[in-house]
Amino acid sequence: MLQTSETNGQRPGASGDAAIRSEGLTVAYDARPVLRSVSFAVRPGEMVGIIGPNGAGKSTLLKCMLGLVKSDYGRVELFGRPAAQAKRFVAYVPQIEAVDWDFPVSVRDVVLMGLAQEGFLGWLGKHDKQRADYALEQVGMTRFAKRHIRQLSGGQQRRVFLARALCQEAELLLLDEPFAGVDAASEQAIYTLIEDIRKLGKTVVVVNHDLSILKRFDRVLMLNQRVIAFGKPDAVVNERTLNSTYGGRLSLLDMADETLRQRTQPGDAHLNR
Amino acid sequence: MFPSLPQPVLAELTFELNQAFLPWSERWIVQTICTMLVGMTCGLLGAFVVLRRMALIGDALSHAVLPGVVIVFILTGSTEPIPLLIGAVVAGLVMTGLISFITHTSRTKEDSSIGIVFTAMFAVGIILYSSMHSATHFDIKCFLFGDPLAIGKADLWMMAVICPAVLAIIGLMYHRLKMISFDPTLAAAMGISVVFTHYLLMGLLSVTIVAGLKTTGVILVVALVITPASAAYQVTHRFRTMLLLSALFGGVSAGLGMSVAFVFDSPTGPAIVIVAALLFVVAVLFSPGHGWVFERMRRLRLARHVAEEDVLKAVYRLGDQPTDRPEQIGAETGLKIGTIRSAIERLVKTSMLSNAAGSVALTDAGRSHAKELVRAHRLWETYLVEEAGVDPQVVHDQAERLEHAHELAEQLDEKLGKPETDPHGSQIPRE
Repeated sequence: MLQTSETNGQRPGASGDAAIRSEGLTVAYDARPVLRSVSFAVRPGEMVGIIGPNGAGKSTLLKCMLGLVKSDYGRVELFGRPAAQAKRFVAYVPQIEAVDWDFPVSVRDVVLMGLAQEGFLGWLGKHDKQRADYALEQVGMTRFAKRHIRQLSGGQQRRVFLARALCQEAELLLLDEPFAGVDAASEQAIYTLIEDIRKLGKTVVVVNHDLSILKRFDRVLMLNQRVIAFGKPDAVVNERTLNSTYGGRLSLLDMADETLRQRTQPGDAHLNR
Repeated sequence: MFPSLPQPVLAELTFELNQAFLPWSERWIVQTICTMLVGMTCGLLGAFVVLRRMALIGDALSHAVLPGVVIVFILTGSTEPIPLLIGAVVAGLVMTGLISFITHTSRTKEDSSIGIVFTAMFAVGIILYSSMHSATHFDIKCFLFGDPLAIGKADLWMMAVICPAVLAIIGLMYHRLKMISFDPTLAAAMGISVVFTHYLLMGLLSVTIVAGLKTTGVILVVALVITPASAAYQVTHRFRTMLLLSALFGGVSAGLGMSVAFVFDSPTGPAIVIVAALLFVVAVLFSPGHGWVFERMRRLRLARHVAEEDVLKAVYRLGDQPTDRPEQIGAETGLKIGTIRSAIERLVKTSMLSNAAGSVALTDAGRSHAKELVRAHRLWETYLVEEAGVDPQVVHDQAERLEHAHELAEQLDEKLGKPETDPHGSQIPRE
């Protein structure tokens, strides 16, 4: 069971605000829509899974919540503020493939990066360093603090990044594929850690490409560019929703978009086939 | 001295730089110290270039500063360092901006954008240069290939300011730079300005490269940025150590290169670059942990270990063997006679075998180790047949390799339910 090392004096938002509220969120890259009118709301303290196939827009949705991608239409609010102004309340655990594991940093270095905003230009005091050590302790990685990140197993690598997110003491935790390519034991360990974080009253959003462990979450958001279904796993997951989430068929909407796109970019059409 | 108008400047590849090097003169010392400062600064900044995978940008930067320098020269008509540095920094930042503009607004990938922008800027620089009045004091050959003879006290003073300044900025920004280089997404998500840091790094690099142009020239200066840092990257897992080693390797390459050039009367820029490259080769070969030599030694040690255990087992099976004629062991193990001899020598040294009256025999320790090997071999055979479904006919060769992992024998035994015999019906020895 985890405990916060201190109470974060600035718990955001009024009690009525949703942790995440996405309204009509639409994002297009190169005139190709990635997210179409995505609307959903997550209550504070909820544990939500987002599933969908590759290219469903899961990572883009995460980036919108992190305030890194601008929407073409619609918006994302976190605790009642636009995502770009709520960065302090969000912690992020990247995909394992997105990390350069040969970079010369130790486990402790990585965790300390979670506190980058604390000191002047990232110079940290003793108290901050203790916070990092405490986070390492919480994920059971104290022994490995001085190791290089390459010298860890896949499960241990995720725990390091979880520790980094922990010491950010954020209200909302976004995890990108934390269960990809780990064995069953590590999967359980990571799930337990995430659940412990939720027990502290934090909101947790986990992106995954399949359903597996997310069945245990409060709610799942089935995403394939648009919201296919959103609700309790046993209520929304069925053959029909799975088909429209993972089925490769182009919907009429896709065909309409393609036609429109080619019309707006006539000179380019032959390149885009 | 000063090339007249549109001469084919790029063809002037002759080096007559070194005649004026007086042995260890004050001038030589000034030049060497200045070059070493350039090497250190380039090495330090190079660590970030290498870690952020911007090697191509480093090369591009050195070329793209030309129009900046030439324009400043046309405007002011002087070769004072400060205005030239400003011109270089502006050109460097313009290049950085253009590259990210092209990458973000077109489908052109970053590497191509870099190639397009820096060549275009370099071309503009050359055209501007060739349109200048011929009797000016701007030596493009020095720009391209470097000319340490042109280094004077003024350059030393300039580096004596730039080097500590870069050091101070890197020191101050140390944690920011480390974080942004490692995880730019998190930095951006935290609201830390990744773009500002990128431009800061590019600006510092432009200044250092321009200051270093006289030492190696545009074409080779990128070596001072990339090579020492890459050597440091081979050697360490620690960020701070990598920065320090990078700077050290840069300084050493510059100093050694200058000395080598002096001794062999060769051009200095290439000498510096070759020393840096040799340092890199040494780092690749001898890096602790994952260097080539280390890897080789580890394999050799394993091969020796396997040979020793095979010989031990052969003696166990065959009984005492004549020391001078280990042919029978050879037939049993398939090892070369020389390998067997040296294995026996080592086994005698570790008291696994005794060597008396011209024949080798197992000691007690040797006997129990050999027994352990036979046990592991037969357990592995059983495991392969029963658990992995391998054909009993071919299982021997695989077990021959696996038996050297005899530490796992107990676990195997448990898992297999303590079998009495192996698939061939031979008894599995127990302690």
